Amino acid sequence: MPPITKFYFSFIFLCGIFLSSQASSTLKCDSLYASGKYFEASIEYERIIFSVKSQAELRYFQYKKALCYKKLMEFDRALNELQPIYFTNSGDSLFQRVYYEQSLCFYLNGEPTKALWKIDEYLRRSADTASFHVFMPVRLFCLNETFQWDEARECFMRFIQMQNFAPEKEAEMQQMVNNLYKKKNLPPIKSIKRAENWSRFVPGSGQIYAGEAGEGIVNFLINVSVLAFSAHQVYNGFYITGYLAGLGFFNKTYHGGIKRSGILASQKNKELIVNFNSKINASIRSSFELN
Amino acid sequence: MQSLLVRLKTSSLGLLLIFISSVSLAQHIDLKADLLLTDSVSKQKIHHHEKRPYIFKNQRKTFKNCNPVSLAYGGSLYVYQNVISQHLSADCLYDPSCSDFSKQVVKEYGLFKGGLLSVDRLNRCNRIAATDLDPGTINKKTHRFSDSVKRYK
Repeated sequence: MPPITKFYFSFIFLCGIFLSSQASSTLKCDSLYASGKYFEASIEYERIIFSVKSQAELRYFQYKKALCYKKLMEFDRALNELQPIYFTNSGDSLFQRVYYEQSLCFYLNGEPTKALWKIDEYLRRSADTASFHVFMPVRLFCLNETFQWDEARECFMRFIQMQNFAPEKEAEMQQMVNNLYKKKNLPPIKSIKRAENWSRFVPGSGQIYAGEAGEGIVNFLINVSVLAFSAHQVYNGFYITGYLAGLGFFNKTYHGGIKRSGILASQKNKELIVNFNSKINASIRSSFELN
Repeated sequence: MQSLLVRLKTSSLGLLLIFISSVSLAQHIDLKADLLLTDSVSKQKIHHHEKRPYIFKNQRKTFKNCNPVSLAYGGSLYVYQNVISQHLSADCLYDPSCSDFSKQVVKEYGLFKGGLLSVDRLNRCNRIAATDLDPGTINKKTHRFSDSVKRYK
């Protein structure tokens, strides 16, 4: 038998052993993941997590399970898998990916400050500065969400520098960023405190400040009518109805209006930031080399 | 012999490709896909001012849902949920909220039994009742006690 045939036979034999052992189930998980069956893949990964012995393998399969949850849009469950993964060595091949997924999942789960904290932790622990660029978009979105405009502009500039654009293109992009972060182009963020204070002094005005004029007028009318009802009852001698029912209900509508104006201002801010980030997201996808 | 060699070569190559693809699948961070995901998830989180539906919406008109009592009940619940509820400082203890529970229970059991169950629920929606509720039933997303219509079957 020629040596090349012997080589192929040995190769296939060794592959057979490998496939019939634990690796076959790994391949099964990976193929389930690749075919988009994320729920089934997460169960398979869970099964493997119970049987693995080394810490490195455990970390890897927990990471893969978290990716399944991320694909299923269950970011809190993905974080539950990623959070216990701990690295003593920052040179581990999974180190960057786990930190990246943690920060992304925190951001997607509506916790931008925790995402920033994870990115900062990575930047302090990692020596591989070349890998920082993958964190930049998430960091940028988080900084925008927390209204840290100067840091966000700086982060965007650094991201542009990392792309190795031609000088003209780089200058053009920097100009675009400077324009984007000019005071007049920034989203007009509503102060939650101010909205609540407006509603505290004139019921309904906080809602109007937050951009919901109709709701503000309804709130004002409800408060005025409840107060008028209360005054009318007291005037006619029905003190219990006036004070207890009337003012009790006024207490609910008055404080409800204050709370509601804060919620509306917060929702409005969220909407403005999502649109602002969406614009940046689209420009990154269209102009940057993302690998 | 030549054909055997070709077959062996092809199978080995196939196996090699499987390994390479599985390894590359694990190691790659797809930034573009993540940016698309970020965009779509963020847009989903924006609260659009959607009206909460009328209890008998899209249902065939029968006496059960078109009699004056049902219309008055459905209409007042619609006005409460879409106009009044958001202006009150009170927060419901349960998930689904008392008004949603009432809608579901009336759909399930009719106006009489549903109405009684709604009254029972309203009586249990206060701070004194909260001290007697099982913390194990708290819904992690809404931070409220789960009390669905299914429990009453």
